[in-house]
Amino acid sequence: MQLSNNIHTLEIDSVELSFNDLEVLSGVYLKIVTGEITGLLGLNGCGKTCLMRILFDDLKAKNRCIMLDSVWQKRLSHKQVLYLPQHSSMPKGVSVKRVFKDFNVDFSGFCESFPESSHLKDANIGDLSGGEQRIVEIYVILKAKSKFVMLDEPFSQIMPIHIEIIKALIIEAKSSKGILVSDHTFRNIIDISDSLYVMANRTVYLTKSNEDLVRYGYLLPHHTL
Amino acid sequence: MFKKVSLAFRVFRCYLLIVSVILTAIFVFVIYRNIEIDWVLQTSIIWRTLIFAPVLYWFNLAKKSEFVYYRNLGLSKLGLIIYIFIFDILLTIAILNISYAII
Repeated sequence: MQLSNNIHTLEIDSVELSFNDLEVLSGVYLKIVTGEITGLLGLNGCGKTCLMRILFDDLKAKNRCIMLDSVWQKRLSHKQVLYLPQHSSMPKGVSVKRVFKDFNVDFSGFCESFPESSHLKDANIGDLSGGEQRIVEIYVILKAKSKFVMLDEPFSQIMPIHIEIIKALIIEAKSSKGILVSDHTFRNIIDISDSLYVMANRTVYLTKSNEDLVRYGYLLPHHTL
Repeated sequence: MFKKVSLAFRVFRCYLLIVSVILTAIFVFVIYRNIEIDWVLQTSIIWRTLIFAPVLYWFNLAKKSEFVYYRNLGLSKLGLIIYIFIFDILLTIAILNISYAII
């Protein structure tokens, strides 16, 4: 793997988030490094998406400290971090061609990865199936220029063959980016992650072994990994 | 810069189209009836830019997941509000001139 000249580190620390009296996140710390894939697992409603949205400045936290290369940041720009949300964010009225142009990504590369989708170039996003929308969005987010990428449930709505292609694309993208990825298909996340965090008890734990996932209540003991 | 302007225009094109039609009708009526144009113009700009544009922006985009798409392309919420103010004022001036031309 050939990493680009600079290695960048993105850290988020002391995250406090609550909705009315419900405390969602408390004292959260997470680190993402270029050249690595960081996996994030956790139960439904434990705050994975909230944490990504806080990093993207799409959700206001009571407290949070973001540092890029150890320098405090008020917020991150699109050149620093891109975010793939859980549900499609692409406007329905624009064409696939336009989406690739917006993100300055070459469509021919997409055709090589997903040859059966090469006819989609002139179609509108609204005319694509949920899975097709997902692969277009994942591809442009992964290929667009940025230091970090956050992927929230990238494998949802995707057929098994495409999941393998997307995993390969994520691994390829880490040569130039730091990637934070969260999904409930935990085996896929474990496969591709260089470091794995699990969210529990309103905070984040760095896991050292698969047993940690059981200890923090994400998996049952009989789950085989 | 040009890319951001064209993106912002894409976000608000429906709003701008509707406003164009309404404003043209109002200005043609006002000019035709010799009503004090300055008063109508000022009221129109003030009300729309200060109230309608941000409210419409809020309902149109801020609550939608679509906003993430534009954020990924570098448009901020504040940037979008500034762009719609500028679009609105330019549009009003253009429509006023067109209305005079029509009459």
